Amino acid sequence: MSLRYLSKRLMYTLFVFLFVVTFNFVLFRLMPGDPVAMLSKEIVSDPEARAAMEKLYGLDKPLPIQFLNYLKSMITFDFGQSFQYREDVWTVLKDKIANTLILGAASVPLSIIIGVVGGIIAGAHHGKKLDIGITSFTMLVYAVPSFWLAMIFLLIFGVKLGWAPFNGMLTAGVQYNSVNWAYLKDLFRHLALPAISYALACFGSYLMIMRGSIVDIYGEDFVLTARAKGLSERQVRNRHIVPNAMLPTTNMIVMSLAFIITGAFSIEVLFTWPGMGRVMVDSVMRRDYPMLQASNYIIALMVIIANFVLDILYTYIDPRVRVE
Amino acid sequence: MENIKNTANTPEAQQLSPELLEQLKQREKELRARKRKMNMKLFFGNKRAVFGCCLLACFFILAFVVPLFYEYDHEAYALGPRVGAPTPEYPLGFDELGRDVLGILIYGAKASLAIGVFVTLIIAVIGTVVGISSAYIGGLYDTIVMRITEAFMMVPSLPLMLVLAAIVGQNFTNIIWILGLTGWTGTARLVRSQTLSIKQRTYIERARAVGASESYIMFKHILPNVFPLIFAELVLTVQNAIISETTLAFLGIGDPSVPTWGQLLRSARQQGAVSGGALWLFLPAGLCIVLLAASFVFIGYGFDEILNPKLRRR
Amino acid sequence: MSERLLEVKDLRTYFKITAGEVKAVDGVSFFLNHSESIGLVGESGCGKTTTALSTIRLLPDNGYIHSGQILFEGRDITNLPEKELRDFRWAQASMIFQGAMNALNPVQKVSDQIVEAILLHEKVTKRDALERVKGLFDLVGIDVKRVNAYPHEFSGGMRQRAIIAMALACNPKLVIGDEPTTALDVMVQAQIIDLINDLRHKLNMSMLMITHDLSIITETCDRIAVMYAGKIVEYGKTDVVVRKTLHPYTDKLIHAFPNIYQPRVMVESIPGDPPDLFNPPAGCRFNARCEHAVKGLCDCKEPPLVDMGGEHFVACHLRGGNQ
Repeated sequence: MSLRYLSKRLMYTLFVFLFVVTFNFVLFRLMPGDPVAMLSKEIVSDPEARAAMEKLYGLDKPLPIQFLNYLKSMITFDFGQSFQYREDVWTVLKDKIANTLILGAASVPLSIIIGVVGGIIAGAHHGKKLDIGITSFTMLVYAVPSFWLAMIFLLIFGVKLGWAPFNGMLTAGVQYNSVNWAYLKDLFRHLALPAISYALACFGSYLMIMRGSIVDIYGEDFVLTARAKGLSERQVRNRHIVPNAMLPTTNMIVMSLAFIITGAFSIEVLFTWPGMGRVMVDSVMRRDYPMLQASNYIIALMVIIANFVLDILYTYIDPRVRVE
Repeated sequence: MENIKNTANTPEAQQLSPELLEQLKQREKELRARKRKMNMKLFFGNKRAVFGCCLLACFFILAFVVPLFYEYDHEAYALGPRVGAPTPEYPLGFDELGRDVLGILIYGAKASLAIGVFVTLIIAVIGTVVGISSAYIGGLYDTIVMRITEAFMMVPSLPLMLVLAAIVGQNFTNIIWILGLTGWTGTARLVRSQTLSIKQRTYIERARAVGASESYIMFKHILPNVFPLIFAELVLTVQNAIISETTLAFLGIGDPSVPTWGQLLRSARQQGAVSGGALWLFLPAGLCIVLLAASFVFIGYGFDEILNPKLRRR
Repeated sequence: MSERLLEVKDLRTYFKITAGEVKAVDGVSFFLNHSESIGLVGESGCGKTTTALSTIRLLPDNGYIHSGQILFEGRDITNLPEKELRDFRWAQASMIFQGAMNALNPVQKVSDQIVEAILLHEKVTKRDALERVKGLFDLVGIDVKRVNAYPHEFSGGMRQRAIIAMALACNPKLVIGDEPTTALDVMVQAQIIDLINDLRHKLNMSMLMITHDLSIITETCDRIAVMYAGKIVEYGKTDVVVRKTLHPYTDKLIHAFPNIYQPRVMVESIPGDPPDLFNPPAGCRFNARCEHAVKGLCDCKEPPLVDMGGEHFVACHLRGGNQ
C-alpha cells in the first residue's frame, strides 16, 4: 500500500472528524436559544448568577476560543456531568458502549453471512424460481421494523416456548465476580434473541447488493475465460465471481457501519439491554444534553475510526485501489 | 434506459423548416409513447411491482375511504378499559389510554402515508438541488459539497434524529423535518452521479454548442432525464421514512396528539403486551407497517428492474 | 492419427429468445488439418463467434447446438459429457480472448490465472506451474519480473500477450483466436500479429482465427472461410480466395478495407444491413444487398456450397453453383 493512499485517507478521516465536532458544536452550543441550559440542569434566570455560569463554562469568551475549548474537551473525552446520573458522562458511557458493541458483534457478522450467502445463491440462480423466492422474501423482511420482528420472536420463543429470557443482559440479582463460564452462559442466553432478531431484520440490504453484483459479474468476460479454461460452474463461482462481487458488497458494509452501530437501538430498548441506545433515549426524555452530546460524538467517532480501518483493509481485497 | 433526446426543443431544431420540425416532434412523440408503453408492459409484467401497487391501493382506501364509514375521534380517550380486549363494537380492543385500536390503525394509515410523502418530498428537493448543482457547477464547489455530503453520510442518522428531537421538540411537523433533513445524502449522491453521466451525452454538448443557456439545459434536458432514474430510489425512500418514523415513535419520539402505528407498538412494549398476551396492541399495527413498507419496496425494486437494464440482461 | 484435427459438419447453433429461435449458425461445415490455421471472417453478427464458441461448447445459457457434428481428432464434442468437456477445454483447445475486454479477472494476479489453468489440467506442483508461466511470459515477450502483476498494471498490448500466454499454457492442439487484435492500436496490433505468426511456426500450432478484419487473416491463416448470416459463403486457401474471389460478398468485403500498397481509392462500404437471423430471407441470404442478384433465382433458391476445384468452395448461383 502506498504512503500517499494512507495519508490521503488520514487527511479525509481528519476532515470528517472536524466536521463532526463542528456539527456537534453548532448543534449543542449555537442552535438552541439557551446554551446555559445545555450545560447545566438548572434554569438560571438571575442575571448575575447567569453571568457567573457563563464565565464558569467559558461562554463569555469569543466563539473561536469557545470552539477550541470545545475541541479540546472532545479530544480529552471531558464531557462534563450527566444530568440524570449525576456522574461523569464518560464513566457512565464506557460500559454502555461495551454492551452495545457486544450486541453488535453478535448480530452483525451473522447478518452479513446470511446476506452474502443468500445473495450468492440468489445471484447464481438469477431469474429462476429460487432467486425470485429469495428476493421476494428479502424484500418483505426489508419492510419489517427490527423491533417488531423481535417482539414476534419474543412472543414465540420467550413467552410461548420459554426458551429465552425476556429482558436484560444478565439475570437480575445474580452477581458475577469475574468473567467466568457461568457469566458467559448467562450472557449468551440473554443475547440470543436480540442478536438473532436483529441479524434477521438487517440482512436484506447485504443480500440485495451481493445478488446484484453477482448477476453483474456473471456477464463479465473473465467469467467466459474461466469457463473456457475448463473450470466447473462451482469453481468459476467461488474463484472468480464471488471475490469480484465482494468488492461492492464490502463497500456497502463499510458505508452502513453507522447503521450497524445504531440500528440496534430499538432492540436495546425492547430487551432493556443496557447499551447506548437506551441511554440516548432516556437522555432525550430527560433533556440530558451532556450525555446526548457525548453519545452522538462517540458514535460518530467509532464510525469514523472503523471506516478508516476498513478503508485500509479494502486495499487488500481490491488490488486496483493500491496503486491509485 | 435509453433517453429520448428531446431534439425538437433544441435551438438548432428551431432553424428547421416548419414541416420538418413538425415531423421531428411527431417522431419524438411516437418514440416517447412507445417507450412509455414498453415500460408499462415491463412494469405490469413484474408481478411483485403489481402486487405492491395493489397493497398500496389498499392502504389508500384504508386511509381515505374507510374513515367515511368508521367513526373515530383521535382525541377520544377511555372508551373502554385500559388495554382492554377486543369487543364486538371495538374489534381490535383498546390501548392503555382506553383508545380504540382499530381507530388508531385507520388514523395511523393517513399519518404514515403523510410522513412517507412529505419526508420524500423534502429529500427529493434537497437531494436534487445539492446533486444537480454539485454536478453542474463542478470544481471546488463540487468537491466541498460532496465531501460534506459524504461526511454527513457517515454521521449515524438515528442518534442525530434523537438529538434533533430533543432540541427542537417532537410535534408532527418537526418529525417530518427531522426525517427529511437527515435522509437526503444518498439521494444527493445519486442525483449527482446521474447528472454527471447525462451531462456527458452528446445532445447536451450539442445544445450548448448552438447556444442554449445553462438554465435552459438544466430544466429542459437534465431534470427530465435525471428524474426517472432516481424515481426507484425515491420510492424506497418512502419506505425508509415510514420505518424510521415507526422506530422513532417506538423509542418515544412522537407527537402524542397524532396517534401512529409506531406509538401503538411503543405502548405495547410499555404495557408488557407481549408477555401479557395483548396481541391486539402489536400484531395489527406491526402488520400494517410491514405491508405498507413492503408495498413501497416491491414497487421500488420493480421500477429499479425497469430503469436499470443491467438487471434485465441474461 | 488422422490428418484432420477439427472437422465441423453441418453445424447448427440456435439461440432461444422470448419471441422464438435465432439461427445464429445455420449449417456450417469446414475442417482444419494439424498445424494449419483457418480464419473465419464476416461482419459482426454473422455467426463467426458463435461457431468458435460452439467448438468448445461455451455457449451462453440460451444458446444450444441444434444439430451437426464437431469432430476433434475424430471425437464428437457435441455430445461429450460435462466432466470430459471440462477436461477437453484448454488442454486440447484453448482460446485467445480479446484483451481489451475484461478477459482477465481484475482481482487476481495474471500469473495466478495462468497457473490456475495449468493446475486444473496437469498434475504438477504450484511451483513448477509458476516456472512454466515465467517461461511463457518470456515466450510472448513480457518481462519475467512482472510475474506478480495484476491485469490493471499491464498495458493493452501486454494484456493481450498475457492472454496469449494463458492460451498456450497447457500446450493445446488447437488455439482459437477471438478477435485477438481488435481494439489495440495499430502498432501493437502489428506486434501481436507478428507474435502469433512467430508462435505458430515455433510451436507448430493449429489455429482457428475469428475476426472481422480480412487483413489479419491474410497475414496469419492458411485458409479462409467467409461467413454471412450464419452460413459459409466462400471457403478456400487464403491466397486463392483473395486473388480469385468468387462470391460477391467476399469481393465487397475485400474492397471495404483500404490497401496501403495500392493507389488511393475510396473505401467502399457494403450497402444495406445484414439480414435478421430470427427471420432469414429466402434464397441466397445476400441477395438483397447483392448487385448481381437475379430475380426469380437468388431470392428463391438457396445456393449450395460447391467445390470449384482446388478445395475452393463457393455458395453462389452465379458462379456455377446451380449445376
